[in-house]
Amino acid sequence: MNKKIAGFLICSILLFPIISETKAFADENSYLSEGQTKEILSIADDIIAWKKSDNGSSENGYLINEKFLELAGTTPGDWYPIGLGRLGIADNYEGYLAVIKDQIEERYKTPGKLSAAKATEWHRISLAVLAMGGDPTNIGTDEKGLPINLIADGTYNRGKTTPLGRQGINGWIWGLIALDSMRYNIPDDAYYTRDDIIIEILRQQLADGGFALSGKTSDPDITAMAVQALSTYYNDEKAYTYKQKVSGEEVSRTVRQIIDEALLCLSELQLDTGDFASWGTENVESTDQVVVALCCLGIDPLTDQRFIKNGNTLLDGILRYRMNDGGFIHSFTYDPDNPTSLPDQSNTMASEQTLYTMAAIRRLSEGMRSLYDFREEQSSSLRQRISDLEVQISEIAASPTDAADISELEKLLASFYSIPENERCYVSNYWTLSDTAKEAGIDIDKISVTTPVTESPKDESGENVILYFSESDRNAADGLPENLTTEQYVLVTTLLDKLNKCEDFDEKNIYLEKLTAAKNDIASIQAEIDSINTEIKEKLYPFERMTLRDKETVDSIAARYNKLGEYDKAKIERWEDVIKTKTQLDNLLRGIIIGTVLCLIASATAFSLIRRIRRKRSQKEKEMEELALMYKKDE
Amino acid sequence: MKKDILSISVIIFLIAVVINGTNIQSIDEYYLTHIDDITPDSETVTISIRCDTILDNYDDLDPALRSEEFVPPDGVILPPTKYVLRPGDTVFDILDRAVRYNKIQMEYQGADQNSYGSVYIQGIHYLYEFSCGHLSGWMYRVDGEFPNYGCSKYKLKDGQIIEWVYTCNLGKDIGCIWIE
Amino acid sequence: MKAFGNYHPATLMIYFLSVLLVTMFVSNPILQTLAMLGGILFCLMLQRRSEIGGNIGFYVPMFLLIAVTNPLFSHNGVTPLFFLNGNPVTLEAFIYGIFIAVMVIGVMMWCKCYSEIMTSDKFLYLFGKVVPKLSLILSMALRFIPMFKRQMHKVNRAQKAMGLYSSKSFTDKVRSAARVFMAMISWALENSMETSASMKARGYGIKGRTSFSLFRFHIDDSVLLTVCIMLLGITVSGAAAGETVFYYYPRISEPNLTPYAAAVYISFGLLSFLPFIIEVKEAIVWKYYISKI
Repeated sequence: MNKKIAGFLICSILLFPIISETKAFADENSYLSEGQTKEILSIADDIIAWKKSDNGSSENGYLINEKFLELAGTTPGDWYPIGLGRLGIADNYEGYLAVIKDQIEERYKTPGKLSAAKATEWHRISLAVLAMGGDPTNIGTDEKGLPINLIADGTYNRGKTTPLGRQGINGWIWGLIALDSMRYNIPDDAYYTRDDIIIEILRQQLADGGFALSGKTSDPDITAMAVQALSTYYNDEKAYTYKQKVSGEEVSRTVRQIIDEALLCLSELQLDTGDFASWGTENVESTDQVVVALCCLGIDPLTDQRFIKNGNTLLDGILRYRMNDGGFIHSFTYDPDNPTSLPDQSNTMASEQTLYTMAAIRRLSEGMRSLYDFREEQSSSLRQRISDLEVQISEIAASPTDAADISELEKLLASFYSIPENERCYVSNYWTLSDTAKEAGIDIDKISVTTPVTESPKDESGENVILYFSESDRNAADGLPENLTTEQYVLVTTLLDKLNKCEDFDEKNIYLEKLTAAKNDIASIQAEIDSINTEIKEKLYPFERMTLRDKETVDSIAARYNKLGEYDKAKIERWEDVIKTKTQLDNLLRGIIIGTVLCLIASATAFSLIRRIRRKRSQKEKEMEELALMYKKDE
Repeated sequence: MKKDILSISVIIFLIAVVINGTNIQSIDEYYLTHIDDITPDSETVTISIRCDTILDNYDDLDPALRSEEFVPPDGVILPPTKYVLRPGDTVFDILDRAVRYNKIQMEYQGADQNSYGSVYIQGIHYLYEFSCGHLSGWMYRVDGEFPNYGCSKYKLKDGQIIEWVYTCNLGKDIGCIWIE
Repeated sequence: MKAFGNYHPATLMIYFLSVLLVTMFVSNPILQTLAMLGGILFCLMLQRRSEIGGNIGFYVPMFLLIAVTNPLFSHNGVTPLFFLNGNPVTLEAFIYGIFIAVMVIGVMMWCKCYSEIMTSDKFLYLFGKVVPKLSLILSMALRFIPMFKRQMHKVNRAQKAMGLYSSKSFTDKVRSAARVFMAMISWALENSMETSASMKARGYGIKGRTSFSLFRFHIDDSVLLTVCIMLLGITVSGAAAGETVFYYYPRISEPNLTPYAAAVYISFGLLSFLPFIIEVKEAIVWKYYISKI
């Protein structure tokens, strides 16, 4: 009974931050009308409901079930938890974190770690870890026993192994987003500085103000992502000097100038229906990215006149792609290069991006931190300070002339620069203040240097959580089958993680031993699966050209395969080809045996035939001789 | 003497079997090794197999075949299905792949066994030539026209439509004009 | 012991024809099996014991050969057993092959019995009056082959005695054989001319010419004939009524087991076992008389 109460209490504590967050949504003054709020939330809810049915999760349970956990650390997996986390919807965050941690550790054992070429693997996983409440700078340990720091390895120290931009501009963009997700400090001995990364993005701007992965035509997705990454520096007065990639000219510009140009470009690219087309295909994801970009800048995506075309807002553009089941499609046109996205079937990527877009809109309207800013929410006093300043800025005269106006401007600038540096980006209309002050000839730099920063008092924070290894967890650990398969991987990893984090109890060591052994077993099974897969790939191609000499290899693979459990067998890729080859070889062998046997029978028959004929002939000869003898006698 | 002839014929029989090949496969193995994965590819052709004409000439049909099992009530043995066209594929190749994939019975005479130098389709889905009157048999048309030569000589192009149809009257009942 | 052979040639002819025609033209596995069994049993009664072993050594492989050949060429049938070089070998084709073999062996058995029972004098007696020329040609043609063989043997031996075939060379052997064959042809032509001349001299085929024979139509014959025609009538009418229809392809049909069909099977069974029954009865009677002596 006591345990139950304790469990309930722990659950309540666990859920508390989520509940309080959800509550926060309702309390604040919203940009959105009540109807719009409901619509945004119902869009998100429907996407989750669709994904639950698509994934096979129970309708009222969590989306993240065992099947979903298998996707932890992959592109189709990570974005849903990010969307869920940023919407503050309760789900199996613990499990996801435990599994992704283990996945990271496993992948760190390979030479390329998370990926040889794609730095964005680090960035996406970092964001997912953050959304699940984990710490990407200290998640698991590598082979040497050192803590894994995804942020260091994926952003500022990435250049030590592979350039951050190896895969293109998106490496830099997402690197900056990951780096600024918690406003991480870059140590002095790092490979890149923040400015390096920012300048790398800036210099790739195209002539029309936008950005693209390749070529000279702006792509809405990349442009919007670049804006998302740079949005943190919108209120920076710092001018970066760099050589533009397109023109080769050396320029000196602020991030604000760049973003303004990019927004202009995006506004031009928007279609009459409110959505965007990327690479000639109208699609929902491009529109999603633009909405997120605007939200990051603190611009209301639903009312900004630059992004309403023909009466259609960006949200109208997104909703065009909504299906009846709640999910979203990628596009209305079928793309043969992308066979997974059908024009009539909800698509994972389209739905996940729309899900976190809804989170971005919600967060903006509730005055919360932007989508990729995972820092603790602003204290209510800081939030008040910022919104007061915003109101004051909106009231300043258009062209100040008299001294009173100027001193008012100086006062406002002082109160802007008294806000801690990392919070200044949330003052969404600072640019009006900046422009007016510059017009009035005020030295902004001087004010920024001289104004002391004043911190706002923090809100009361939640308590530390102690995990408890519950009865059901024990049962689950006890109920592990004798013959483990990789099916238990998720369970064992989750339990082990929980056990490591939980308070001591009597049998903790026994469980620890058991679960560690189980985990090792599973790891060795996984290694066997991988080795069979590589062997198949390396030794059994091309399948058509197999000869009897390969029979031994095929048989040994088949024998190893048969030792695996049913669940693991399904993980052997191209097993059907192995069976095909095996049957082909068996048939060949059988054919040869049958052919030999038939030949033997034929030759035996032929032999007896010849013998009979010979016997007959010799008999005849004997008769003839007898006849001759008879004639001789007669003579 | 009788026994000599018998043993000679046994020897001939065995040698004929060995020369023809001794690749013996169980049913599962056969379908396993002969099923081709149909992958989305740019070049495809459509094939269908129908026997509607039999429904109009049911009285001529071999009594052993008078069952819905052998003659589907709608006359459709294989509804129009798309198959990947590989370079150099003939009508016969596609038919062979389609019937194997769908486990439809088919018997044919190889190109080396007749004077036309082309594969001759004797029966599909247990419906053989002469199964429905002495003017009956299988014919094919590509894009609505009946080619005047064997199916293993017709090289296909992307997007063509093949129809295998059963005729009970030398093609006259299915709109074939060249046989006059 | 050829009790059956003592019947009148007409009776015998009608009997053999009815059994053979039914076996060959009614495709029904039960009828064919009955015919084959009847033929085998009759053959056993007619042959010397020493011959039986040799015959089994011939007919069993023959049976298997015929049975196995059909499925190699016919791929029809709904139950594939296995695939040979990509072609199905079906249960239906195999069973059909077995019954083809049953039919062929059955017909061969009955032909063997026929040649044993229907000697050429019976044949001539039967047809000499009706179609004298044809029956003569037939009996001559039938007689010609054994006679030709015998003559060839003679010529061969004579030639051998003269030193032919002494060379081991293959071409010489062929040349010798050709020489013998030439001699044979001229002999055959001469023989046929001689025969026709001699027949003509004896007035064969002239109107009003009678021929003597020992065959008489007994009451036994009329009984057997009646029974035979009755049984044949039932069988043929059943077959005509479609009672014995049987399909092998594409799926083996169920044998018809209506009372009518059963009557057909029983009557044909009786028909084909008739000679065997007569022989056995005769043997028992014979044994009985012997025991009395």
